[in-house]
Amino acid sequence: MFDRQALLCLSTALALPALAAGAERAARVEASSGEHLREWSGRVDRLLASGELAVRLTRDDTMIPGRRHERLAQLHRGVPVFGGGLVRQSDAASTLTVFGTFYEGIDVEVAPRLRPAEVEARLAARGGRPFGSRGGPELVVLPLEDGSYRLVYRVRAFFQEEMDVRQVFVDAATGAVLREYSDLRKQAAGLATGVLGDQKKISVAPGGAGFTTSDRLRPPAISTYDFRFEVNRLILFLDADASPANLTAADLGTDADNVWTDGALVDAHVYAGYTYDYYFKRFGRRGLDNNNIAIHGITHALRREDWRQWSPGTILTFFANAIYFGDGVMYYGDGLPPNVTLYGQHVNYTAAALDVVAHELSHGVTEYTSNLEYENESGALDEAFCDMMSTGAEFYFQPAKADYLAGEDAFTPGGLRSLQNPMSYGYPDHYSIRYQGPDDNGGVHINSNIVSHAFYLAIEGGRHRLGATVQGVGGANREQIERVFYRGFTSFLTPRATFALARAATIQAARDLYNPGSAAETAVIQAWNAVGVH
Amino acid sequence: MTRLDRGVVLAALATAALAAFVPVARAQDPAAKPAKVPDRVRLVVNAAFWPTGRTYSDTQTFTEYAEQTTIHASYDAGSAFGPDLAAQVTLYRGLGLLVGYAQSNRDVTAKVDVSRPHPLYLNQPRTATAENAGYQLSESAVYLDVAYARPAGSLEWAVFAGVALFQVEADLLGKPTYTDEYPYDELVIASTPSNSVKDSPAGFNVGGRLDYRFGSSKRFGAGVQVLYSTASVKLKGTPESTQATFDAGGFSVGAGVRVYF
Repeated sequence: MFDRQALLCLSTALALPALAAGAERAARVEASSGEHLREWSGRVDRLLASGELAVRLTRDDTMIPGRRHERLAQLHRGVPVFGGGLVRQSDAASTLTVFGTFYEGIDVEVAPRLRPAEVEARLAARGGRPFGSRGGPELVVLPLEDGSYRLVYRVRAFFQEEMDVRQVFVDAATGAVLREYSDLRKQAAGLATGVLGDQKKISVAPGGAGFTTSDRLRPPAISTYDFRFEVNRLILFLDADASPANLTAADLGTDADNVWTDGALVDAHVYAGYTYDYYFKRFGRRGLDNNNIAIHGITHALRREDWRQWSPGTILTFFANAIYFGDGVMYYGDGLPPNVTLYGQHVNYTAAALDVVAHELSHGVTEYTSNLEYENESGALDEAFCDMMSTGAEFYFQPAKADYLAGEDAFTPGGLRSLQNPMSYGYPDHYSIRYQGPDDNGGVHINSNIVSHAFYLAIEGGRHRLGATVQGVGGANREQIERVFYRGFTSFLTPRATFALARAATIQAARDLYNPGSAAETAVIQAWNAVGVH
Repeated sequence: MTRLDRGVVLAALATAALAAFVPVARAQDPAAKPAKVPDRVRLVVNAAFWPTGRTYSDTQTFTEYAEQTTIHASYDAGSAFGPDLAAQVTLYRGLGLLVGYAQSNRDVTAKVDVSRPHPLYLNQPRTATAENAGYQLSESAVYLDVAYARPAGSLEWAVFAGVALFQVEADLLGKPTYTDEYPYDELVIASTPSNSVKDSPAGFNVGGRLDYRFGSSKRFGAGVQVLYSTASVKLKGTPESTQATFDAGGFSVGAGVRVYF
């Protein structure tokens, strides 16, 4: 078993903020140099040997040749510890960094009293059922905020009445729900006007009497589906766990003469390709899972003119929203009619915005890398990562119109958030004023602005509202900061990462890519300082 | 009027002009002795050299990836060597008919410039260039001429002009192949295959010889020749190509042996 007290002493002796502990008995691991790194390198080997860590994924580094990243899941007597895990970076000679979260002092028994079927029955009584390939029930050890641990069943469940997918943690002994939160990665709602009318090329496949929205030019299969406003088709799809296996060739968008005029279908399909291209060209990444997993997009599920027939929750989720369902499946709402406003905004077809599409697909990148837990700070990091990467994609493909607004092409006027000036949307731009309430899954969208504002400052530089000055790398060098944040978030973060860990991870990434003392490292450090994350 | 018709007319005009000139020339030389009637038939075998090269080009345009692909090929053909054969028959006072044949082969370098649309992005064409020195151009011509020959001691000069019927065969660029893979930002030409195409234009030729006859029998000789021939060639490498046009023939010099009987 890992000795937490010894680690705390070591950290103090080295005067490094290498280990921090909250109410939960979690060790935040940030080992990147010196004795601390040597200590952790040896501990990881011992934990692997004892079965307290297990290698879940090994990837070659796509940005620095010769390096390798291993994702290590924490186990307690063979049962996964929810949110526990480490990422080890190494080269041919040695371990270079260890980041992550490790829970200590776990003493729970791993024999459940309830059977999985009983858990499903309890969920069914609430109108929920396991959903998707990661639906469960899965037996895990859940760290609680009071520092204790509980053996639970984790279920990713779909609740039809609420039209929501939620992570539910059911006590394996009593059946009580110990924790629950929405697991739908989605854009916040707004309102929009018509199609933008911009010309673009679309990669399709000939078939049947014409062409279908099936991209065969890019390495992964990119398919975009047209549900043709058949409500039952959407219900059938959701009933089948939003599984891509339930999407068929008959659902693909079609066009007889290969001159496509369905703007929502076109944008969803084309921008999915752009997003794949952005990740490949900027970072060498091959799709969401770095192994060219298929990408599926769904459009035209509900007719926007029928919005009055639906509940506010459904409107916010399936009309004025885009969703990442998991397993490479995206959903793009058709928005609302031009004469309707939501919170003072018009909502256009959500796929009309490249940054919306890139945002949703970036949730997929997170799913296959850090797998950030979608609540509190880790959830905010998830949302921030998507906003940062989608902004990067916008500057890459639409440089003439790119800005630091999120979703401004679909939610007008103004979009949903501003990486440049979060306060103008009422969101915090400094850690000292972070949202700490229960709404928005603990502020995943709200607090993401603190992180994405740091990203903005690291690129553009300038003076933070509260006075700190950042020497940014400049817009011409934005690629450096994009690469730093990409690397930090995808290579070094673990599911329960905090803002502080994200700071350490991105600083390490800057050192890896551009050396200590580089302009990129300086910009990143100053930017995190400016937003109050230390 | 077809190109063949025009060539025949030009050749006929040249021949008529020459035929008209010859009697006048004789009439203006009252001091000339009656010409010794030369042998009736002359066989001319020359090794000929065409010093001037030729350039021509074609352009293919067609739709690919929803935009226009443009493939421009520039061909540079060098000088040429080849045989030049003729038989000349005298029919009346040095005036007669000549039938000739010449053949030349040229090595051709094709420079290919491609602008090909990006398959994924609008208005972002990729370009690539390649050069292929393995192309060929061959020209053969049959001359049907009116000829006039006149001896001057052991020397003999002759002029001739008439129709030139060409057969031209050229390698023109077909469809290039590419190394073109995701992300498709760079285009590399993998091969530039050729299509061998032919044209048979008619034109005219005009030339002269100066020969020296050996020995007492004067049945053998050697001499030099200059010749100009031309015809307009139009070739099409692919259905999408513009025509590659150039003039066949050109100025040539030759030297060789003669046989008289």
